[in-house]
Amino acid sequence: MEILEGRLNYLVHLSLMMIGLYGMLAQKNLIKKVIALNILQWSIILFFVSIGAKKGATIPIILHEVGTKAELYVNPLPHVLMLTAIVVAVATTGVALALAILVYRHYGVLEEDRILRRIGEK
Amino acid sequence: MEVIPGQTAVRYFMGGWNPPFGIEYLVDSLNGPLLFLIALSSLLILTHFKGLIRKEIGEGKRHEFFTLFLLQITGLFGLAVTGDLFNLYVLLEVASLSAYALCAEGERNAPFFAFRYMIFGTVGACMYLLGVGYIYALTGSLNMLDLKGILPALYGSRALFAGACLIFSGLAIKMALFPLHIWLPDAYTSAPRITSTLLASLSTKVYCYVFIRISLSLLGPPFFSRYPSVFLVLGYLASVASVFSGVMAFLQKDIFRMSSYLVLCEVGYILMGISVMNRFGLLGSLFQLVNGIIMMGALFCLSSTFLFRLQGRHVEDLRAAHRVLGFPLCAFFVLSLCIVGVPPLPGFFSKWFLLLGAAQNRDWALLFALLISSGVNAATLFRIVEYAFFSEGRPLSREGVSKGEYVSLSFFLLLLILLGIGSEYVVHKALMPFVDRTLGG
Repeated sequence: MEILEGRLNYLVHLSLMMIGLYGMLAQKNLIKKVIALNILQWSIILFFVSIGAKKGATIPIILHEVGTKAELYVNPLPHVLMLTAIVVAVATTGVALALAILVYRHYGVLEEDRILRRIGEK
Repeated sequence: MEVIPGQTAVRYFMGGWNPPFGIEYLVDSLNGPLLFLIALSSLLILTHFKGLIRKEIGEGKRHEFFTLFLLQITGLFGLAVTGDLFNLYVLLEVASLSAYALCAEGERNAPFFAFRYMIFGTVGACMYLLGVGYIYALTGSLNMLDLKGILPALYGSRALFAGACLIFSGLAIKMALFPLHIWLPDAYTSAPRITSTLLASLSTKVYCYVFIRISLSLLGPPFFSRYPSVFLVLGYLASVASVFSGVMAFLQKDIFRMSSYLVLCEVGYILMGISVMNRFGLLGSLFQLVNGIIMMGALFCLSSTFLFRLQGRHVEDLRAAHRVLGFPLCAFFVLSLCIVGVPPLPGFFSKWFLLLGAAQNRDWALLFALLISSGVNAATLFRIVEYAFFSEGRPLSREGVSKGEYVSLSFFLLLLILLGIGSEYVVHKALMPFVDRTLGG
């Protein structure tokens, strides 16, 4: 149990990442793959944000009551980096779904094994 | 903007914020030739496909296609010039997303293989981002030069090792190192010809450059002497990659699939040079990077010419093609000499440096892998030359070659010959300062 103390964020991040990886590789439906891709990216965003957290710290906006000591504010740099990563994740999801639409228009199915069978037959 | 005297590097601080707080763009003797080659290569590719694009991309889609094309080139420029780890992730995604979209506009099976490319590529980018997260959590800095000073104190840390391995795995997926190369042949074969030319010649090589940059400038040789297992794995994977890809290229009937496997071969050579981490190995690796851009660009451009002018993409379709496509086939002959490694063309010098580097390190597996792979490449390419020049029969069609293709092919050939004759100049002026600074300092 001591391993989990203070390290819960890593455990959650790892579980989500593994769920995402499993989904992307083992699921046959393309939309499930896209969802799993999203889960993978969000797990990494969670990791980054969680490493910026501090004990007893508040949100990184300077308040008069709190003062100007840096230890009292959560590290804002991971938050800012992850804003960019969220935008990237959204763009990736957009491209993924557009590609899935193209695949569906072309093959009429969204299951990977049936698509591969169709490619093999041609 | 700051030019550091005595260091031959140009640093540009975005928004005037000094590192390590701001994002910096750094151009030194490793970047400079690469940036020039990206620009030149994309110009030559566009010249080559000026007329041919009409046959592949529909009228209404062409402006969107070229927007994506320019975005991809922007991403590649950014990857080559940035000095900040997170900025590198953003530009990596810009380049990758444009690549996925560019690949999807091709022929029959392109959307599915582009989707598969996207799955693989996003896993790679996420692994890279996680590695950057580990390094950030350890040090608090994201600037490459800054980290170079901070990291040596942390070399015993397992988190640093894990972060570095994650970054390497992510980049290995993006640059298609065996066994993570599975997406590449399908994606490059079914994509539109102009896309696969751009991606094969530039994209894969720029990711190799990113790998080199991170392993040499960020974690220098001291990191690798502390963790020699990384190099062992890398060396063996690179050897297997080059032999496997060589054999797979030999077995292909389709010229484009064969060329995609040759791209994988090149990646193997570049990483072989990194894994020996001595002067000759690094020089061979960097020179192979430089050559590979031009060689693969020329190879794919030539294959596209064969495809569009002869309406055939199989080796057999090239029979007696010298009656119709004399100049492109001569260019193909010179190019195959270069890829195999015949002096005075530059392919010889890069492979020679790699052989010397492997021998200096007593790495016989690498040496034999390189030789076997080159031999198999020779068989693959010379077979095509023989078929095109010496077989009986009539060529498939009599369509001639357009001016744009002549111009770009001549430029590619000229560049290859100049690189070969002037290889000493290029290596001494451009590559050796970087290698000496990395290994000596």
